[in-house]
Amino acid sequence: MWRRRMGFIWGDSMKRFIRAFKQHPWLVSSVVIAFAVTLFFVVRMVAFAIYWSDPAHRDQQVQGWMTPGYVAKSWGVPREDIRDLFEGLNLTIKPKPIGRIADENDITLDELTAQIEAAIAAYRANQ
Amino acid sequence: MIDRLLELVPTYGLYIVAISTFLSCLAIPIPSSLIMLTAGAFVASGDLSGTGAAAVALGGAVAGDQVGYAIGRSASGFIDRLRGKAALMVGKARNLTQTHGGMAVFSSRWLFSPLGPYLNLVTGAAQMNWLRFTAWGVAGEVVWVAIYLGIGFTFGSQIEAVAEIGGNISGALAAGVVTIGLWQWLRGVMKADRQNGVSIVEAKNLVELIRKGNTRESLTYLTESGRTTDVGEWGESSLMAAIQEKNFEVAKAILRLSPDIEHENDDGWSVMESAAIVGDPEMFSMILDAGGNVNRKLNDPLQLGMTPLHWAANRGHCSIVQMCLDHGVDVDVKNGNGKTPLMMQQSIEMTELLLEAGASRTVKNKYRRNAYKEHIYQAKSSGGADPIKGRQQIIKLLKPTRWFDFF
Repeated sequence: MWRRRMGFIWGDSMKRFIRAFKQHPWLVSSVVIAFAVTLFFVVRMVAFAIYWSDPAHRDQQVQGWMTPGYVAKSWGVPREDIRDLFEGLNLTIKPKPIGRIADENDITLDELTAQIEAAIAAYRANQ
Repeated sequence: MIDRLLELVPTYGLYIVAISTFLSCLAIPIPSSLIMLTAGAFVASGDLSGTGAAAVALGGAVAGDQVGYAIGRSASGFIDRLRGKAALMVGKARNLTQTHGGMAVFSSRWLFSPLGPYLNLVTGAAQMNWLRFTAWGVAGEVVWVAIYLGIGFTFGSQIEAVAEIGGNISGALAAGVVTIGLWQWLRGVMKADRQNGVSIVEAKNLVELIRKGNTRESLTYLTESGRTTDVGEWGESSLMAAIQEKNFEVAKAILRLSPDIEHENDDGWSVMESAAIVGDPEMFSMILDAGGNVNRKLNDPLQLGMTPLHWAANRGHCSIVQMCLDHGVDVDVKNGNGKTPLMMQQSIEMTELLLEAGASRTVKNKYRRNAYKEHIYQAKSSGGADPIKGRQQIIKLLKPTRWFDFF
């Protein structure tokens, strides 16, 4: 009984949908596409929210786009420690991505990243 | 990909903020929201000046809005020259801009920001008041700058997460608004269709559906289109067809929609004749209540001039005859040949009924025959194969009581 009623509602709305589509093909397809796009974004949003809610994913790594200041702020390291590290490596500290700083000097990004991570670890060990 | 984007801001500083906000207001697909979030994060890390970023972002966005509005406005001359259906839509858009333009501009700056650039063009084309556009636009951009820089500033260390989730939220919001808008549009159009009678059961003729005996579809057609004006092959109305097919369910549904009772088919027949011939008393009285003319004379090419009473008497529908008489129809009403119902009827029962109602035995028709002689003539001209049983008894009943009425 319940299934029959659902079948009726489904069939009826399908009929109405097909009729509407026959009359206004462009408008109905636009509605369907817009709805699909909305759904797409909602699904992506939920997927990213689930992904980032995992603490393992939230723990950032030092990356090339970050600036020295950004690293200091994000890892809670005093800016002076980072500046000391850069001066020790003969690098001028400026508000540029560390990837770019590495490119401008004779040092690879991996090396610089490793140095920064070591400095962060050292600072945290001293606390 | 997102890394590259994040790298842009600290590399090019405020320039990238200004350029991206400007260009994104012109419908050029630049993820300016992301850039703003990133800028907020770098303000927090001390790499970017906060006031500088806010000022530059606001300036770029407002300038971009103005350019978009100007482009739309320059197209409004062309739009003014549109005619017909397009002009109607333009008029609607302008009205909508008048009533909801301010709020739309404001919310499309920050809440539904992917829609912003299109709204610049549309409001410009719809000739929204410039001051109103600018005031709402600037207010919206201030909110946008504050929100995105603020989020970037606060969640700086989680910038990737915020960017990816936030980008999808604003995408979902914008697409959602578009979906709702289109949905409302579709609903409005379909409602208008129903009112205009461009029925859901498009390109179908109600009379044909009735002739095919398709009661369910006929009823659906009526409820969805509300249209009763379809005519059939011989110019007959849908009500006439329904009565002729004895489909009283459909006929009642048509009557509820107040159809044209007076409608005549190509031969001058109306529902009155059909109802009298079919002989359903309930149907006949409903048509009388709906304004049917009980004294109507058939306006046919042969000039038969039959009235409903003639038809009902001829087909032996006593209750219809009674109804006609109750409505004040003259029992001796003459048709085109001067014949009274008494001359046209074909049963003993009907003879008695009409005589009781005071029908005259002596009135003569065009051929100078009274009812008695008319029936004798009909019996004779049928050549011994009289289709009417009880003709002799009818003739006996109609026999004049006075000697001079025999002539």
